[in-house]
Amino acid sequence: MGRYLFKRLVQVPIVLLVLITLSFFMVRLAPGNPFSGEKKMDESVRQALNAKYGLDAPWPIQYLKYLKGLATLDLGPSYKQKGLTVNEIIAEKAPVSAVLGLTAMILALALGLTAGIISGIRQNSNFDYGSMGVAMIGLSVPTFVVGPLLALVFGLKLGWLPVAGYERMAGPIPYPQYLILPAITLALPFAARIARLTRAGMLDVINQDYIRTAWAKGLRERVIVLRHAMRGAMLPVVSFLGPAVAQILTGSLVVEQIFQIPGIGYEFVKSALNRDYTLVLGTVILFGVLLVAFNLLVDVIYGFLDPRIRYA
Amino acid sequence: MSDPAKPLPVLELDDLRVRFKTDGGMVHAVNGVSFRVDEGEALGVVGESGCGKSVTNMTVLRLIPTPPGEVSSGTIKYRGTDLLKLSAKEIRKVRGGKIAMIFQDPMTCLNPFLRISKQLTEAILLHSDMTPDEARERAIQELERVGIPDAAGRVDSYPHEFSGGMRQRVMIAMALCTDPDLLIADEPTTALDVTIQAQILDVLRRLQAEKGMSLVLVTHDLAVVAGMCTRVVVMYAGRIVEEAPVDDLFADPRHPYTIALLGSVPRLDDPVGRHLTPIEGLPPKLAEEPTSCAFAPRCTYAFDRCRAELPKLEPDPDGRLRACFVTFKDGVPVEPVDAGGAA
Repeated sequence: MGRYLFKRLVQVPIVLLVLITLSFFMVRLAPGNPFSGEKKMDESVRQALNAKYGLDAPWPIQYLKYLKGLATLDLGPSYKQKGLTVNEIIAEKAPVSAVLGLTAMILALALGLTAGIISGIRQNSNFDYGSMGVAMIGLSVPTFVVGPLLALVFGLKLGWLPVAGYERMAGPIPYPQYLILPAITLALPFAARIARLTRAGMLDVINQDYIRTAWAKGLRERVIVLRHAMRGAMLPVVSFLGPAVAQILTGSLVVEQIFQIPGIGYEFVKSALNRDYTLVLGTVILFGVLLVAFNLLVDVIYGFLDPRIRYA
Repeated sequence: MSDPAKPLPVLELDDLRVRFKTDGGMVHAVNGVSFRVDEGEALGVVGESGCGKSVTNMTVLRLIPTPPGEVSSGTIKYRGTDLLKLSAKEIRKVRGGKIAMIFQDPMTCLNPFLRISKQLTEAILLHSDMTPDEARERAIQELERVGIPDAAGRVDSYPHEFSGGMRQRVMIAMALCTDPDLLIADEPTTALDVTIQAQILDVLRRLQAEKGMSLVLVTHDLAVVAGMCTRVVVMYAGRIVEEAPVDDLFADPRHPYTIALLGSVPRLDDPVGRHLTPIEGLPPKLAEEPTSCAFAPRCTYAFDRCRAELPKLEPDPDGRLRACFVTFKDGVPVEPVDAGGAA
């Protein structure tokens, strides 16, 4: 296990370096640059700006300079948001997305696991049909439809919750009412995936011979499901959760846009459109680190869940 | 039904019928099975795949999923109590506690995610008042009795760390660690190779004698029955076609299906060059309950009555039970009893 972990950890910087390199050049290959926007700008001003940020240097030089900064965890200045560094922007926005994402993930897990387990052990029951129907809707109706619909019903018509906005209570944490609708919107497709995966896993396990053995011992259904069936049924869900958690924590452009939430998901898309090179790279690196970390975590959890897996 | 002079049987099935609703229509898997298992007795249940022998025995512990399964009639009495009438809570006490079961494939019947110790002690704790430490001690003892070397050192292993034969030993230990008085072994050796089979049967035979428990051995392997059981019931198409003490069955089979079964297995005392005789054709699909002899289409001796009427399981003059209109002596038909009178 220790050896395996060490090998995986050694791979991490390599994976990240490939990711950084590809993103670095790809974002520069896209037409335009940070200062080629729609606003008319004097040629001398443009040249001065390019010189100030080192954008007049050849790409390999820019690349090495960027890596040098990264070595000290410096993601550089934002080219478009004056006076702010990428580190500052991420430190400001990412926690907001993380709070929303974490809430949504907890919601998605609670809903998805419950629905999935019950549907799995009561296959073809009304509950099964009902929850899988809802899951199908959750999967196929995009968030940009669900979000405004929820805001319309619960915000405008019923007036129970704010339509949008993000009033902070402490740090990145808002008053709960601002979190409810965006969290539900964000959670729905994830809950649907988790429910379907859990149900499929449960169905697969519940028909195994060893479950029949458990019944023959005289165990109660609750014990059979929780002790004998859950672990096996969870394996596909855990695989899904690795990338899903990384994704949900780094925010969603659509949900943050609809509900006017100052998160990093919105910044990412804006920076890509603006050719804010350093901010694009910064957010890509953030997502990459999280993705690698959670996938590693999933592999470790796998080893705890399934004793047949041996790390070598 | 039961004779007051005889002691109460451990298990008594009467006219059990089980059917399954499938996408392709109803399947009548068990069509009126009656047999009993006496105290300390080893009963063999023999028949080819799909004859209803497993379904019958799974139904005893109500392990048939319902739906699609359904017991349409009959009783299953354990020491006089009808198991089919028990509440969910009461049947759980019987499962594993009074009647234990082991299954065919030890590779898939143990939970791969749980340690052997957990899988054994959970059964012990469920059916006794032992403390977890005592249960663990008991589990180790039971593993030793089934011949697991270094049981104390291996009790915390996972199933995949054992071989197939060892896993079946663990299954047996798991079934017996609660001191049940009836063990139903459903094809316990089918998935194992021949030398391991012999070892497992040895363990079963020894423990049955030591614990004085009754045994129902479900198998398609006549050799296994010959070595283990005192009495045999032969099943075909969800019905019992013959029942006899084991030696009598081999010496003097009286149902064409039994005769055909015996003809299809090799024997050590066969003359060199004897060809095995397969049973031609396939067992019926059982979409309907049979109304005539289900074996007739494959039977060499069938005559008109066999195709029109269902033979009942009835005693011969010497008390042996069989369901056939033809009389046999030493495996050869003597006369069609009532051949003309049926029409």
